[in-house]
Amino acid sequence: MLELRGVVAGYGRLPIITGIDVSIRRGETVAIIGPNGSGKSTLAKTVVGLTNVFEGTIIYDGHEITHRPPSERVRLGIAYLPQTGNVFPDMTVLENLEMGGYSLSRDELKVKLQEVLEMFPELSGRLKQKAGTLSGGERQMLAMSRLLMTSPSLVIMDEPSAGLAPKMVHRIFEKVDALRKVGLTLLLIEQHARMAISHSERTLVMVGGKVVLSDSSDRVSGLDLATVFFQRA
Amino acid sequence: MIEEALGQLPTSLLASALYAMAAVGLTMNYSVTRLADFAIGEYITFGCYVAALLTLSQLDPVTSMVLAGATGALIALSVDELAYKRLERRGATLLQVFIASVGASFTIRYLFSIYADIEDLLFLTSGFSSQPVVFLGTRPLTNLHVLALITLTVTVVGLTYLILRTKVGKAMRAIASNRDLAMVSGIPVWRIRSITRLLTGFLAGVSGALWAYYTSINPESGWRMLLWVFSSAIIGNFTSFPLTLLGGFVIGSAENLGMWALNRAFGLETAYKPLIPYIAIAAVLLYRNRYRFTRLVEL
Ligand SMILES: Nc1ncnc2c1ncn2[C@@H]1O[C@H](COP(=O)(O)OP(=O)(O)O)[C@@H](O)[C@H]1O
Ligand SMILES: [Mg+2]
Repeated sequence: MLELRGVVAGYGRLPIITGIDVSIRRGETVAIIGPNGSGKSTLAKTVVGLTNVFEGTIIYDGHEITHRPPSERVRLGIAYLPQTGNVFPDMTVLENLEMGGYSLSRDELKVKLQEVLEMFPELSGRLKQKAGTLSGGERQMLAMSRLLMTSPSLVIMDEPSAGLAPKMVHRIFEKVDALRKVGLTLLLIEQHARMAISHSERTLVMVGGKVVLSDSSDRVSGLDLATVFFQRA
Repeated sequence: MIEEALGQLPTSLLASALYAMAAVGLTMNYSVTRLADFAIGEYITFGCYVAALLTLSQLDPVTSMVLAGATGALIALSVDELAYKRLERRGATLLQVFIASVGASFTIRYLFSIYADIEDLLFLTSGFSSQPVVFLGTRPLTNLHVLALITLTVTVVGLTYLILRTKVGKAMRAIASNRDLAMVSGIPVWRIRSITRLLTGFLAGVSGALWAYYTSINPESGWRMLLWVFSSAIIGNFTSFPLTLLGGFVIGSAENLGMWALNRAFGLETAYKPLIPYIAIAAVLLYRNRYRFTRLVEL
């Protein structure tokens, strides 16, 4: 469903990730782990079109999207949760969701809202609240629910559990499982490497802007991650 | 004395309304595009000329003003499509686009000056006839003042509704707050930008029309208003609508009422008028970082 072939991408004229060959099957959940600065976020941004691609091709659902603008990729069904700044803080929860479903008609929006709020009932009582005043966990919930407004088929999440208390981290992973259950293809970038591995079918390890390991999560869970991160650096 | 001060009020109000409207357009444009568009002076100039020529050919002033706004809107959109957008899509930095807007401003102004010279329009007075409605002291409050205040009120109410209640307005706020997130949320960022450009140009054209009804115009009329409009927008930090409006009134009143007071108190020549916006800009830049008062009212 998603295929990156020999991709070199970065910011301005500076390549950050190199020689990326990744292929994601429909319905698969793939965890991406790796040390800080290894290019995980850059890989995610490259798939949604927020970086410059210098070499290689990106194919999504049979469409070549290597140089297509983000808005077109959204229309093709790619949804992305950024690592930082993933809600509009000065807008209400409801407005945030409306913006997520910008292309929907009024009736479609209503239906979609109801559907999303069923999955994220904790937001129902907070629709009129400014997103900036939500707790960290609620904010991530809002960001995740916004993703669903466009009815995506591929969801890319960049550290949805970062900076949250352990209890909240578990809630986030529950939601991740819920997304898996409805058949979405997931790319999950995580600092909580062990959690990510246990909630995915496959794991990619990135070090120094390269994918150094791609294997079934079962097998990766048996490895000593520190050794993997360092040996391949 | 008090009567004389009161006499300054109508002109202050008119100037304030003019600056406030153009500056609000500039602020809106900046919020969505991150560009402080230097060529806004030219959209104002086109508004001046369209309104002047239409009223001279007997069209009523309100319709002429709306058509002046429409012309400003079309020019603002065209400049974006032909220049700014193309540059940005090729990866130009914001500074490069800003410099391009200075270039666009000069190019449009000189081309228009040549045209105006050929057509013998270098100096023009509109067909608007100013009539007193009531008297404030010795100075009359005219139908022009009334028109300006009504236009400003409609603008403020309309924009407030747009920004707070409509989908397009919310998208503008979203883009202003986080452009990348807006893009990946599926907000049609480029289309919203075009709508913004139309609104900015419209407001500039309308304030140009009011200016043309107030005084005689030339191809540099809008350019000469630029300093005042920019300083109003700077008071609003280019992001806050309420503060930008306030900025228009601070600048408009300061240059008339304030100048009159300085003239009375210290015998300062009125030719020093441009000092007022410079002082305002300096004051804002100095104090903005100290008191983050702008955050309080940012939309
Ligand atoms: N906007 C940017 N401009 C320039 N360099 C960046 C930018 N964002 C990240 N980088 C650089 O790219 C490298 C990889 O960063 P990132 O993809 O965020 O890593 P990770 O998400 O794995 O921590 C880092 O060295 C970082 O400094
Ligand atoms: Mg990251």
